[in-house]
Amino acid sequence: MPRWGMTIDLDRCSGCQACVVACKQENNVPFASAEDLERGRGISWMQVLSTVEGEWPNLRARHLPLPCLHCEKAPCTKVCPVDATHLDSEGFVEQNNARCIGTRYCAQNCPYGVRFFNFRTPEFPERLARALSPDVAVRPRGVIEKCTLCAHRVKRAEEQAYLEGRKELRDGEVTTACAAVCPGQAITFGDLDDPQSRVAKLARSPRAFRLLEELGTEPKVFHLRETRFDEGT
Amino acid sequence: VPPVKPDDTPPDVPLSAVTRREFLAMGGAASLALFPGCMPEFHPGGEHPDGVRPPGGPESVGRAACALCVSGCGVTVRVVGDRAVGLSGNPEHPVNRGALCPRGAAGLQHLYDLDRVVGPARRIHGKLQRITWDEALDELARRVAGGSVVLVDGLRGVEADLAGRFARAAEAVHVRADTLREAHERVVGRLAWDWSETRMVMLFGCEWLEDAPDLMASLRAHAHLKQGRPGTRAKIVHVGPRFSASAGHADEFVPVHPGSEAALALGMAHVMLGERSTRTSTPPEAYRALAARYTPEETARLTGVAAETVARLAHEFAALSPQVAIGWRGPLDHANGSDALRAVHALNALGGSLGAAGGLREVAAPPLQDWEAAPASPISGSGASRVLIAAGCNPVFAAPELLKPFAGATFRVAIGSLLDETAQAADLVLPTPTWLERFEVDVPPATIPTVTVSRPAIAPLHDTKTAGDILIATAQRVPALAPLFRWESYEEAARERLFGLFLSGRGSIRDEKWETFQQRVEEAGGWWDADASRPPTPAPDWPSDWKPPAHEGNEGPVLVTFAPIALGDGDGARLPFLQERAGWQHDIGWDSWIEVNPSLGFRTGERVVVRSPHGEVRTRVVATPACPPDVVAMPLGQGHTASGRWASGRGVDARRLGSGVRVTLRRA
Repeated sequence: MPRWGMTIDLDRCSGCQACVVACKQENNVPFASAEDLERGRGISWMQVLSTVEGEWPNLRARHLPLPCLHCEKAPCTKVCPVDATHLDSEGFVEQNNARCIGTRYCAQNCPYGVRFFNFRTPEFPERLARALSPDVAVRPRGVIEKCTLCAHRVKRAEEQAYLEGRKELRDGEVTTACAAVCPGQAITFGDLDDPQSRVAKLARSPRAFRLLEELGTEPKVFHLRETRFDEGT
Repeated sequence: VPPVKPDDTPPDVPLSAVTRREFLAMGGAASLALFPGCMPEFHPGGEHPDGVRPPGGPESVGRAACALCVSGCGVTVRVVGDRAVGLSGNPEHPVNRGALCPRGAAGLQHLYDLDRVVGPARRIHGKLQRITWDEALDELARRVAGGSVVLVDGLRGVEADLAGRFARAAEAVHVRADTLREAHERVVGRLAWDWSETRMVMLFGCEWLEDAPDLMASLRAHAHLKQGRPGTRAKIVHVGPRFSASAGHADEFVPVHPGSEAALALGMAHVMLGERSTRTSTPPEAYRALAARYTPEETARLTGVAAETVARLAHEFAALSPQVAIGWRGPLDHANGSDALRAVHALNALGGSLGAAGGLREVAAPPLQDWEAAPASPISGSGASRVLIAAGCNPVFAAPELLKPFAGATFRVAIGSLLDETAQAADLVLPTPTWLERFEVDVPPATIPTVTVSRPAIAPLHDTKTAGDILIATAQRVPALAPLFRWESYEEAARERLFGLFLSGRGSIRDEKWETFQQRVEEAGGWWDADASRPPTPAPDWPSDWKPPAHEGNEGPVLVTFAPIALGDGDGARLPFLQERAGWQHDIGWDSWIEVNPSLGFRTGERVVVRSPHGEVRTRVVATPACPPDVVAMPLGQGHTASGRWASGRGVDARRLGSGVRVTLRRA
């Protein structure tokens, strides 16, 4: 059984936003209106956080592509009163729209802020609805949604492999929408339990680190950086 | 926290994932029956649906040539039924190797834009009214035959060649719409960057991760130079007036006074020439004399960069060969722009990277077959009336200065897909299909000969014709031009040029038969020749003069403008996915902003009036240490008055203030 995970190379990332947009297109995430943004209600399963610190001209920039980290010990799964979110057998932290009753406890308990609440019914005005992907359901108002690590792509690839009589997927056979589109090839997706996979090798790199490691959440999304993220450039 | 009531939408309404009208248009009940997946699913005891799954259908794959910037990426289109539902990069295409930038990734919103022009229209008594294509083309032909023509063209690939042919044949004044690129090509030529072995990059006012001569190439190069070669790490230096995204990703940021980037280039040349550390044949005397004036001390005075830093950068630049210097937008924004760009580009010659692996090369031309030559001047227009045709561009918004000489045009024609500012000012509006609905042969500016071929991923949504078809049909209605445009369609004209690739017997696709060759090229999304010999790289246009810019206005910080990746020059503003990310670093969407140093006393979110000698605008403040106290920065691309509901009325157009001017700010 694979344990899916991801690495994001901050040295390769240019902060171009291609992953953010590709994710929205792939997963039927509506665009946020100006009002949504003002109220902090935009939904972006993948986001790039960015800061500039210091005083002119001694400055330092940090940026961080941030999907759901699919923690092995996910704090979000422990607080849901209706069991709408759980860690599945392949390592995805799943979100079940049908069970979710919108308490938002999971979003409160996520230390990374990657869970989003549907404050309103999503809108895809007129013809824009034609671009909706048939692979992913559009979430209704009142539920939480978040990055699935493109589990639907994995499922489809697994079905295809099954049809071809293979039990396991080859490394690189399936990837997420954000990884596929990235100009810097900063994102790698694969099976962390396969020591030969690209993602497992990168996760072992001395450049690899996990966000807020001290919380013990054991994210399966690793970031890579030449210098320590909490130190200078 | 008050509990949020779940949605109480009745289960049989497919929410707004698909509007009622769209739902019916897609086959409504029939698709419901065929694709049970689009029925709302219910959790047994749950209070609301799992969401709506959009209908599925037979899957197919299309290939397209992205037309959203000059890079010219190859795109794979996922089509379900008659809907295009996903875009990804063509993994084989040498320009993007499977990647897309955010503009390309948002491309379906270009296709399904709600405010596209649905059919040809003529302005009658001040209002645009639908007419037939025959009426439209007859009208255009009559005007072309009876007057002098000005053709402003933002077309690409073979269609741009066809526009050139049309302009030559009709003796039209032919202007390319992308003024920045034209200025760049005039000075440095049509060059492409070969990043394979590059060891140092110096960016002079070039925000290469947002807005570059070739955006996809630089996004890919950035990753390659930092982590693409185990053990080798290029040094990236950003020279500019503010700590931009590109500066934040660089290894070294060298702040300079706005518009003085070229002085640093000349100061570095001074050091390199003095120490004989250049790798080029002797540059001309005029250039040496110019560089001689820019001692490190003089350079320090003009740029604000310490004299030791000037010398150190020169040493590093000379040592880390092959190296690349790029100037873009920033230096070109000032009155001395061309000289500034020459000064920057001269560093490439001094470093010996022109034509070198890891340096700059001339764009490689694929062996496309030439059309039969078109002799000029066959029509005898009276010249009394002037016809202004804008094809595939929006100069009224993006380059109003370009149109000034033609203010007296008596008839204006807009050829494009959107009701943009140019169409709003036109007498005749001729709608075109988007890049996902048409046949196209594009020639991206790559280091190897590359041709991108796209065929329609889906049938045209509206009553449209490509600009190529419009020009051919118009020419055929003008007796003097007709013999030069004998093709049935633009597609036929474009395919004729592909024949040259077939004949060459080279490249990624070779075939015995012309029919199967075309089919294979279409399926692959193009043709490229990785083993082609490199064309010689031209010698630079050495500068002989450069003067520090004078900033208009008496007081206040200098305004610099930049093109954020989401908005570009204004093209991105029509796509909602990009509008919401316009100022993503500052959590700003759908608006403009002005970046100011906190010491100026303004707080983030405050609204201010920004005044320059040319005008004033109101916008919101972002207080950030990324701007020095004597510089403020505003994004380009907003402030549309047309171009659809997503672009129109969002933010302000910073161009109204002029560039490189001093501005004053006061609270609104």
